[in-house]
Amino acid sequence: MRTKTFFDLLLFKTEANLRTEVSRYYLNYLWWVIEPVLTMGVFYIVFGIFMNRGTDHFVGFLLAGLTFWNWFMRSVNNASSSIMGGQGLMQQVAIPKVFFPLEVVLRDCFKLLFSLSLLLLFLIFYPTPVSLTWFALPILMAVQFLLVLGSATLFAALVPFVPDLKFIIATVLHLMFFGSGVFFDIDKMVLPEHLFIIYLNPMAGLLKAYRQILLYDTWPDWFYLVKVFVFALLLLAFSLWLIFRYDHIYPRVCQQ
Amino acid sequence: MRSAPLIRLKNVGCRFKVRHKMMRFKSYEALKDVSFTLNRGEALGIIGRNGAGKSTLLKLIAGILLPDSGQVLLHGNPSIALLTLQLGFSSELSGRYNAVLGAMLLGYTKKEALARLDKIIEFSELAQWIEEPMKTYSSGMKARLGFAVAMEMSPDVLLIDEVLGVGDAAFRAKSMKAMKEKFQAEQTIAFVSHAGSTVKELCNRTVWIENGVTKMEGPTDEVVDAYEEYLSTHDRSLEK
Repeated sequence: MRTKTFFDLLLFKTEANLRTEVSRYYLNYLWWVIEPVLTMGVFYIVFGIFMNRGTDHFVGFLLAGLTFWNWFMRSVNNASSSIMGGQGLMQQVAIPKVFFPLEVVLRDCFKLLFSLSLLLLFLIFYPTPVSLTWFALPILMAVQFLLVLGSATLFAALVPFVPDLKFIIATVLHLMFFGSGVFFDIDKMVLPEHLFIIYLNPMAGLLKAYRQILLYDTWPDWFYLVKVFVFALLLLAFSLWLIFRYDHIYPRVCQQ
Repeated sequence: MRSAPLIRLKNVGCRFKVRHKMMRFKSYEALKDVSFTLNRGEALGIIGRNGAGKSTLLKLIAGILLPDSGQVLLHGNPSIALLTLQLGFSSELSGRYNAVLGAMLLGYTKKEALARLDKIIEFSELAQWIEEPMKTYSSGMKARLGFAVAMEMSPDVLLIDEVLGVGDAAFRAKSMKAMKEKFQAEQTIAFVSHAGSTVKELCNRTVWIENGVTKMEGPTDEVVDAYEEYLSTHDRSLEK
């Protein structure tokens, strides 16, 4: 398949799938906005009202963490079954299989635009300062994008061989969710001697960085970000190598 | 250049593993030893009974699967596509959308697909239906659109897996005519079928695959006659 065709097809199919997803529902495109509002609403009710320990600006803290955590979690989750889901297509066309996780990641990025806009809009009116550090947002998101792409491709490449991995991935994501401090401040809740371990999880450090720049007018720990960037790059390189290496195996494996 | 070989299969074999319980696998051989040549500009028929490995063979030629043994040699760098009438169809989206998608899946860029969209729509005879979501289409209409895409956007080598019998009688006649034109033109085609008659009508040379092995290769009339002869004796022996 020509490179131009591949990327044309990638964008076109992403758009087509987005349209297909919403066309089933009465409220159609509105769900791109309503859905993140509902998710945020649930977390606000549980952690912002019932479990509120009086932390300052807890709602902003929670929503900032949740938005970027969800981006990671959804892409990885959706991508892990993407190659199996692309079976119909790959049995008919000689298509590079990296197409499937890429398409899922793009689709989730598009949906992120809505929850991100909502978050930024909310933070503008929120008592925390809108500061110069907001300019670091694209950098953080670029790093997270690489991490999302690498993880998504890795799981997409592995799951067809061992479908049972899906359960392991769900467990790992669960663990990461609790370990990333989506609804609590890691630096206050975790024993100092365990902080090192917690921050081995790149999402924990990323969420902290997002909050620093969006809520607290603080520049992030650049050295940590460089480490995450390098890790994400290596992960992506490995995943791409893997998925291209087994490109012709997938149509067979998926038939088993 | 009409007889220059374009694709050559040499002792191609293909095994599939099927998982039964837990970690246990059974493998079966879809193809054992298949060799033949597809020349530029020719229409090659591939016949064989159900389960002879014909569809697997097309997937190997299309580059979807790689053979376990033997080789598939391509001369030059031809674009090859498998004609399937349901290619990438998304039932929630309009026929127009799906036509573009189908054309791109056959290897064209979006620009190229859009440029030929009018012709596709015209051929499909869907008229204003083209704007409706495909879930509202009858199966005949879907097949017509798929066929129209494939006919307008054919790649260097077109692999066809028994798809005639599309739509109503009038459209069937039209598609048969379009197919014949394709088959007579410079289009290189591999046409798979289990029915001798269609192959006779469309192809000048034919390969007969039986149990994953090339049984015979040669002029269509000879091969198809031998195949039908074999079938009738085989069926008779089964009845006894």
